[in-house]
Amino acid sequence: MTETRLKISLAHLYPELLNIYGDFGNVLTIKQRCEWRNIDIEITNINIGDKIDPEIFDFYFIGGGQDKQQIEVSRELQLQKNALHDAMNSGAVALGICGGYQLFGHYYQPHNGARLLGIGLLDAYTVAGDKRFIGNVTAKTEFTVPKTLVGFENHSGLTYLQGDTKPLAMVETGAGNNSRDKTEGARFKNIFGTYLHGPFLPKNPHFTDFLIKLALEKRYRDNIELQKLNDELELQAHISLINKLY
Amino acid sequence: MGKIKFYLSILAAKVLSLLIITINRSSGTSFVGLVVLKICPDFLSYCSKYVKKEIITVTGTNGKTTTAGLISSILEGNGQKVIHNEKGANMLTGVANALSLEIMPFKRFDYYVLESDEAYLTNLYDFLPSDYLLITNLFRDQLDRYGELDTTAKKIQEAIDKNPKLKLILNGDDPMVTNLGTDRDKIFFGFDKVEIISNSIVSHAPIENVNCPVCKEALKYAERFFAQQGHYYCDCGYRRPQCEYSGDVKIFDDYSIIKVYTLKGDFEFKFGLIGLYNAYNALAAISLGLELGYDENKIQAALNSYQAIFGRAEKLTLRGHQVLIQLIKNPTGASEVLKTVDLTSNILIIINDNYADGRDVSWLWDADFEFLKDIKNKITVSGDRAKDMAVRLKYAGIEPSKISIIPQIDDAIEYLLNSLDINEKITILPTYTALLKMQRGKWRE
Ligand SMILES: [Zn+2]
Repeated sequence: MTETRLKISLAHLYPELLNIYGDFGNVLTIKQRCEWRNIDIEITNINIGDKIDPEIFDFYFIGGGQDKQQIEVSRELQLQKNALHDAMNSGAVALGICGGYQLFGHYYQPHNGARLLGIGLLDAYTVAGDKRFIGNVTAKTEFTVPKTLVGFENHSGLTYLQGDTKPLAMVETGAGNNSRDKTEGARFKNIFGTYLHGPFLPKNPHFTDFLIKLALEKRYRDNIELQKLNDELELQAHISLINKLY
Repeated sequence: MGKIKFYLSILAAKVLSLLIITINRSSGTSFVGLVVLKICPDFLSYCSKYVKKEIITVTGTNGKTTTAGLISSILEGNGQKVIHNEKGANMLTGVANALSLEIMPFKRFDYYVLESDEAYLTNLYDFLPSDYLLITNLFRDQLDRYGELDTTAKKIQEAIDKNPKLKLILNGDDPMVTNLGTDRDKIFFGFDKVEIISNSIVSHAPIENVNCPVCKEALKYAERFFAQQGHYYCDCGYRRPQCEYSGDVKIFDDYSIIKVYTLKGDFEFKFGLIGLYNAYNALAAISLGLELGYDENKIQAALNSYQAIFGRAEKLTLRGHQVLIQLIKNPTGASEVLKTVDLTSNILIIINDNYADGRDVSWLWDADFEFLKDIKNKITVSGDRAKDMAVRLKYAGIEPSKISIIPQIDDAIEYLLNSLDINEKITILPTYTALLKMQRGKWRE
């Protein structure tokens, strides 16, 4: 029996604007972990003015940026909102980090000034806080084995979840979404958001694989088991960061 | 009473440093500075009486140490007596450290050349106002420390505002720098033309959008030389200024030729540190040297004799091995270093995540470690974040079997010195606090 090569098509949203926390590392991690398994991966950069075709992509990634860039992306995303909702409803995977995560929600309300509109993939909203949370985070998720997620947070926005949108994880060390309810990140359908960078995916290979599997299953509408990789280095790094001093 | 404390602290400094030197031969700590400031909190205010000519501060994200070192070298080459906090410890205690070790009750100096972190500048000027402030550039490497780049710019602006007679020497090619000190007299340096003669490898570090510091719209570039530096302009009218010291530069493999055009004439310099990154540092120092009226031949001599200080490219021989030490601390700077690293050498990368390094190590993923993927020898990783670095190398395309992790810095260096053949070269790439720690390594003896 000849095996056909599996393939994933990934859209990296606005990499020229949102890229401040090593976000290329996240995309690189997805790419390498696919290629090491002989899964073809096609990465398309979506820039301002590009129309998103939800038929094409299985996986969307969006990173974080400074305020000004986030405003520009917020404006552009309104034009792509329907396409991204179609993508969500077809089971596509999306991961938003920091600023990108905030834009997956309904809005970001700054201290003064107009609301920055998100696209409501997640039933969540963010309001400006008075304090900046900067430090190492350890959180626990129900979605993967091992359960721990590690990363570094740097945000002053406070994000609150509602409705069917559930937290991605619960923090053990760090502030998470809002430093009050212990939640960190969010999930609705296959849309994920998190404040963890550092970057996030290289240090959480189990979570990366979880996303890759979801993206493949969306594309092929079938249960797919990923080939195991040797993750010794990644797991050593992961373990060294668990409950690291904030 | 204050004066007595001042003399007392100077005395304490000399005694302490003698003690430290006899105990472990180190002078690179700022421990002495710490004690001095404890004894005499306004120690630095008294220091202004011991300088005859000017106090020059150098700040910016990259190149402070090289630029300040070059300036000192130019001044000393012209027979001036200079105190320079050259150990790379550029926080307040570091400044106090340097000054307390040199100052004597009846000895005065011509210049102080002080490098200061952007965030500590205001604090420094509270005690010791300056005559000149040179700003090299503002990169975003300290994002995690100050929130955002704008905040850093604001801190520098506050420092400038505190210091009414300050003369500014600014990098005109850096849009984040030129509008600092809005209404002040400013002298700009910048490159009109940049020619890369060899080493055509193009960095794939992300090209960031840069926003106009005035209107916040995206800046446009007629030419973009290096990261945010180049000939920028904006619809609101903000643009690269006319530079008093403008230059053309040709970047060769291991040196640069810099031609500087000034009102006093055109001068050509050759500078032995590699990369455009260092050419900017040289242009900064040359501009200040010319501005202070020093002769171009003496400036060239100073450039020649300049020893890359504090590891920014320290060369030494240890137990027969040629060792090159180069600091890495942010993606742009690290990529420049990686681009030219000797791939036949044995590379040791040391990553710490202390406050002075930046606690967030995301930047490792924006630096082009892909340049190392054809390396023959094993790469050793060390420091508090050795394991993060190992993962970074794996994803850059380096076989895990070629990566060895030795978290303890001294152990890693000992291991290389002992296990390699005598003719094998070693390249060490440490972050800032790793480098500080290396200054005190026993293996140096
Ligand atoms: Zn403008």
